[in-house]
Amino acid sequence: MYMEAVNLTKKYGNFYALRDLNVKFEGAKCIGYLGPNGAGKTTTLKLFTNLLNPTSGEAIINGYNVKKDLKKALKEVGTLIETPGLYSYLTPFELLNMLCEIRMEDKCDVKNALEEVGMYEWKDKKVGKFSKGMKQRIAIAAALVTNPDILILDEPTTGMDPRGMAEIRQVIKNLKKEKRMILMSSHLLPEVTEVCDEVAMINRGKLLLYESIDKLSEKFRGNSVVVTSMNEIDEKKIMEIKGVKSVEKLSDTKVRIDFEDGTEMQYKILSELIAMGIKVVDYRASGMALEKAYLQMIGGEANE
Amino acid sequence: MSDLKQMWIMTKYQFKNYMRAKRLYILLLITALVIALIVSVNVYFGNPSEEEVKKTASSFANFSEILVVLTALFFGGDAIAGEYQNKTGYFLLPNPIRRYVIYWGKYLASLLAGVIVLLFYLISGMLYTFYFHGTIPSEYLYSMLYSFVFLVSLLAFTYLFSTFFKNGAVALTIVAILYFFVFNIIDGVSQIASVEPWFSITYAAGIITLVFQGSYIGDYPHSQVIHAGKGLTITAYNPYLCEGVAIMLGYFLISAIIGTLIFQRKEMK
Repeated sequence: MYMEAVNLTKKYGNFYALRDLNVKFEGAKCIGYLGPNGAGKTTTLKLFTNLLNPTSGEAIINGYNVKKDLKKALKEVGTLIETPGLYSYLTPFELLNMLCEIRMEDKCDVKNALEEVGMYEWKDKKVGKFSKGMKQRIAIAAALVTNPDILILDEPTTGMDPRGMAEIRQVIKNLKKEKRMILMSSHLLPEVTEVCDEVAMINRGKLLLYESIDKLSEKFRGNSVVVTSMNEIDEKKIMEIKGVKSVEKLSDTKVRIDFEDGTEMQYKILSELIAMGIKVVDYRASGMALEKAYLQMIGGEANE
Repeated sequence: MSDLKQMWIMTKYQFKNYMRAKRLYILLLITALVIALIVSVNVYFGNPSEEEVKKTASSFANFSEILVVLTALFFGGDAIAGEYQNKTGYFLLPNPIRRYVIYWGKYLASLLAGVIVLLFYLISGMLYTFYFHGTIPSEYLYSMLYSFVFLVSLLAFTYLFSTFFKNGAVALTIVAILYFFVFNIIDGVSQIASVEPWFSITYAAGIITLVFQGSYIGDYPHSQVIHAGKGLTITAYNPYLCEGVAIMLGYFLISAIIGTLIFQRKEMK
């Protein structure tokens, strides 16, 4: 299973929403699709789901061009684009059955899809009266109901409370175990770090980066730690440790230490702190690799 | 084959929409009230059993033109535009189903709902006529047939406008304005200009009632010059029966082709 963009371009007047996108997502994995508002994330997903017509180039799914072979291209694709409206006169059960009928899919499991998103007990109530979060859950169930190989999810946790967000992340993690490809756009970097294997970053309609989260973490590993102690910390003493570049006092018992590159150094500093008699209760890398990468790639672009 | 099956599924769910949203019942109720009004006025102010059978029958045919317009607005106005307005398109369109299948599946549901309403009205007219005269004139059957042709074409025309706009209310209002005002103005201006308004659907729909004129079906003048004084002449045109049908079918064909093509390319931005 794969999705491929070949010189995919979408232009509105003189504005390029997407410009010559060339990327291939392949295999059972979760790909986080990141970028600021207006970067071209949703445009890409809409081009892959026949909601928009490309100005030029091709969106290909499993070898089929989405515009030319729509039925074959989208046969194994479940989608959640923006927050879809749901037919208010139908119940969740009827909505999902409608999709199964339209897709003429024999591997439908309405009950399981509704249970996965925690909406089974609401199956016979009309969706018109549901809250935004509930509707989003139904929309996710709609993407899952035909057990597709590929899932295209546009900010799937939008409009959900923290518990709902955690539940949906768990659903996505479970789907990964079932050997599916998930392309998920999100603004939430911790969400992408938690759920995805790879990340693609886009800004101003151009792909800036496509990398595995592991490689990205290696590249953008943080060279600073935040230390919390039970007793007061003397930052001057910490500056004496070899390899420490600077120490910023955050409070009497909390400091941020910038050091020279390397995990070995990170371990050495911790050992020295304990040897100095500092009662370390928390010692963690400051900031995430993905956040650093995002700020470097997207932030730099934005400042151009 | 699978396209036809998908089309039927779309028809089924769209029709369910009309039932659940109570639109079908509301229009049937309005129709029932109109039937009650026609019967009571005719019985109270006239004597249906004494009048000519064609006159009794035509009293029902007069309103069927308006009923077709109401039906097209009720069932067609937001059929496509609603997918954009309510964002249900995000749910429906990214599926392995061709756009024209969605379009025609919905159209068939609207047509089915319209036929039910129109049948309810026209069969009531039949029963009313039969009750007073013990017979139904063949003119009434022709008028029924033309009413259905008008429904088919006006519904397609309304669907065309529904694809133009992303707001159902706007689409509905535009078609209503077009039908009740613009076409009538065109018909009026054409009379003054002595140009036959063969391009107007309201002109064509005139055959629904014209069929009752004269001593046999089609026995009416195609045009009549009326002197309105001060040298002004007005030419009143009546479409031939086959001409009326041809105009309506022309509207259907052109609307169907353009509407399908637009929806095929229409984007969910």
